[in-house]
Amino acid sequence: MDFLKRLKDRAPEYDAQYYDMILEFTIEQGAGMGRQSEEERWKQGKYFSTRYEMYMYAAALGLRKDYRLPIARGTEKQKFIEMRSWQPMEVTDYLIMGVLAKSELDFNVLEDMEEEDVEKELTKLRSLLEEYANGGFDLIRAKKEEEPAFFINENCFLDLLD
Amino acid sequence: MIIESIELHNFMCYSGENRFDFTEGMNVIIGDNNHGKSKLYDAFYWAMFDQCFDTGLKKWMPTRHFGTEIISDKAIYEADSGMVRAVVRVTFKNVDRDQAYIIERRLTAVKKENGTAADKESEETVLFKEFDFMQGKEVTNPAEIDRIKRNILPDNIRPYMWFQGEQVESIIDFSHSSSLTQAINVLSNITRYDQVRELALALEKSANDEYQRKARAQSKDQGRSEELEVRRRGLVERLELLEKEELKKQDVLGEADEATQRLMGQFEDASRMRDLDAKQRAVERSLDEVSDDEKRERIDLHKKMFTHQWVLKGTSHLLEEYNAKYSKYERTRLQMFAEAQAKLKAENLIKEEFQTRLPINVPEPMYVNQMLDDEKCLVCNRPAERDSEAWNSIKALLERTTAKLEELEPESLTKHDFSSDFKRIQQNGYAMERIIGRVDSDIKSTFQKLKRLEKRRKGYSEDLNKVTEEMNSMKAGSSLDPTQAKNIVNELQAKQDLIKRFQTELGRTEKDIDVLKEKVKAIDKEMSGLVSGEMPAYLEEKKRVLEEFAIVAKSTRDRVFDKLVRQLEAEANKHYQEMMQGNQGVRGIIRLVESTKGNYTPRLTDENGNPLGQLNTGNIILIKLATIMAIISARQGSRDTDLYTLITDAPMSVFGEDYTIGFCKTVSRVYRQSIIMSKEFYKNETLRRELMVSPDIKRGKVYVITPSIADADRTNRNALTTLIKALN
Repeated sequence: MDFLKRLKDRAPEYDAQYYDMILEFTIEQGAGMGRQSEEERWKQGKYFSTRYEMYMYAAALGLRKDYRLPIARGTEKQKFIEMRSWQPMEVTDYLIMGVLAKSELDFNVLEDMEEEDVEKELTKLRSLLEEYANGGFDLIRAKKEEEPAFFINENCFLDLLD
Repeated sequence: MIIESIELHNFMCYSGENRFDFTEGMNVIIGDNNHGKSKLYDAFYWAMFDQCFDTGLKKWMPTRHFGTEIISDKAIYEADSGMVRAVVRVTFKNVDRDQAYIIERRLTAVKKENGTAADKESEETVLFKEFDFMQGKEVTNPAEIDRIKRNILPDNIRPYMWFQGEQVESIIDFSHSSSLTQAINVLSNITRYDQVRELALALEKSANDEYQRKARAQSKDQGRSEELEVRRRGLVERLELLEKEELKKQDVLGEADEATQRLMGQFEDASRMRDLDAKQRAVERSLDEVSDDEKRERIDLHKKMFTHQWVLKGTSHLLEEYNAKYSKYERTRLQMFAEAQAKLKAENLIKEEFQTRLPINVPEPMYVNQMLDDEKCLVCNRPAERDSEAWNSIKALLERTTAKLEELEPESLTKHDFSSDFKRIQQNGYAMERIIGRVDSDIKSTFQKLKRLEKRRKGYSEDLNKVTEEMNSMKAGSSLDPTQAKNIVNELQAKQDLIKRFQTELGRTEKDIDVLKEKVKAIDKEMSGLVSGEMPAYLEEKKRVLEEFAIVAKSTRDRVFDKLVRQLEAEANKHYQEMMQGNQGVRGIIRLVESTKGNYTPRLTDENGNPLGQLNTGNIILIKLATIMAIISARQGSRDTDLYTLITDAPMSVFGEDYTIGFCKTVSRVYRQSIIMSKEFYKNETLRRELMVSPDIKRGKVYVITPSIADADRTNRNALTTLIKALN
């Protein structure tokens, strides 16, 4: 029981080098919720309303392209909001499903583990999600460097998923 | 008498010393809006008549109304405490006699720490120079000053010689007999004919009264005659009232008729503009709506990345991979469950077997309990003491029969059970898979919708551009704006209703008048019948002659008036044709058509008198300008156009640049000297070139005036001066 809850209570982190890039595509924080913030995002020419949206996108991109990039030990990381707060929840759960699918975790073995080992496995899963998101961020960065004009197009993030 | 120069010292925007020299021909002062043209016009008027034009009130107002506004702000600002003064000096020259009159007007103000106060009245000095080279001699006699001024510009022609463009409309009001009579009076003294007519009518009345008195005196029935006379007097009074009423109604009809003519001229444009305006608003509304839809769609576009799960595009394989893992998990788990269940089953079997050692369906426990109570085995008949091995063995038999068969609980198979979460994840995966399957078509249809909206927006935008362009060109061509257009359409409707109503009322009044006249006639007849003996012949003759005289006086006045109108019309046509030369628009011939008694409406017709469509504002202004010129130029035996200077501020602004050169040619031909303030030549280089070189324009001096600080850059007028540049 409560496997998902325990996993979603974890807050993934990301490589601090992507902080500026995330800000570049994400609305400045502080706008209200709902349509007003959406309109604000549109006016600012941004693609994502929140940082977690961009993170979810990066994770989905990494999983889509099956590209994960471990964050090197000692890399400065940015704290991030817990997965339980990500919206929509079904997308978050789908990404977790993807990470579980990609992990080497044996569900049967997991269920027979001692509590301490379960915790370790949950941490590993979080790290795997971070690796896929990191992979996604790396793909965006590479595309930006290779073709800066690509991101002027309003379809850019959709096209990147092709 | 021509104007030789005007000097302005600290007058309004003309700070410091400023001077314009003029010659015969057409002198032009070129300047854009707010460059000081009207202030120059004010300067002439102020010097002569002690009045300036209040643009807010649209009236000429005396000096005290303006106070310090007459003095340059710069002069006041820069002055130390003490006196500041505005001076305008105009020099009029009688070229034939080499004499000159100099009219100077001054206004003094005192600047103190707490503000500046101007004198209530201006001061005037009039100088007369016998010869140009001599010093001027001051004229102090007020009557002489008046005479000099009237000589410079007689009162009756002033409105037609010195006027502002915006006044043209009201100077000649064809719909009012008084306005046209005033103009006709300049041509010829029509009031004399009016006086003769009035006299003839009075004589006719008096002769009639005398005749009636005599008839009453000779009446066979004095009482009846008196009674008839009283009735007659009442009828005549009523008749007079009705005739006055008829005149008023005719005036209203005339005014409405002219307004209708004017409005009809604009109606086509106005109604097109009104329709266009409605179309423009409708397109604007549609554009707003579709732009809003498009904007909303674009705003939602990226949100759909999450709300429509586009972010998961192409990730269906994740579910397959998860399913593989989950299946293995499930299989293993089932296997574990099956194994555990088999083991449990075996254990339960053993239990069941144990139970079968006792007879089935007998109340064994009762016997066993008895054995325990008796401490003796009833099977082998051996003693079994309480708590001995034998006793416990018997007791175990009893417990074995009560032992339940165990059931397998899945949770108990492993330390943790995450199966429901794994299951939930899979179920969510399936739900997402269905959506992911539709993502591509969803994206496609969203972009198709966006494209459709964009296409519609562009379509509306193009429509709006077209309509706006059409509207702008219409605005430029017709000098109307949509509000005016709407007002014109409404006003025309109102005027047409008014005409209809007044025509009916006028018809009724005329009928009433006829009835009254018949009644008076009948009374007269009855009174004549009551006369005994013969009426004196001289009285009969007097009455008849004066009646005829009244008819003659009236018809003569009308004939002369009409002749003068025709004369004015012919002269106006001459000017009109000249002004229209080189213009592609409808030319036609001006006809002043008598709409109601004494009221005339200008119409444009072809040579055969057929109307040439409706007049627009430009046509009407041109006709009026042509008429204004005609009033002066057609004056019989006069040399007014030689004697007096035409000064007009922005006369051309109301009819557009197409007519500018034609107007200039006409003015320079008609008037010996004119001073025209114009903005038409300021930006339009072609027009300016033509003004400067055209052999058909007799040019005087041409100046360009500009403010030292552009209108837009001014925060105040404390440094404002006017720069004067002579172009020839």
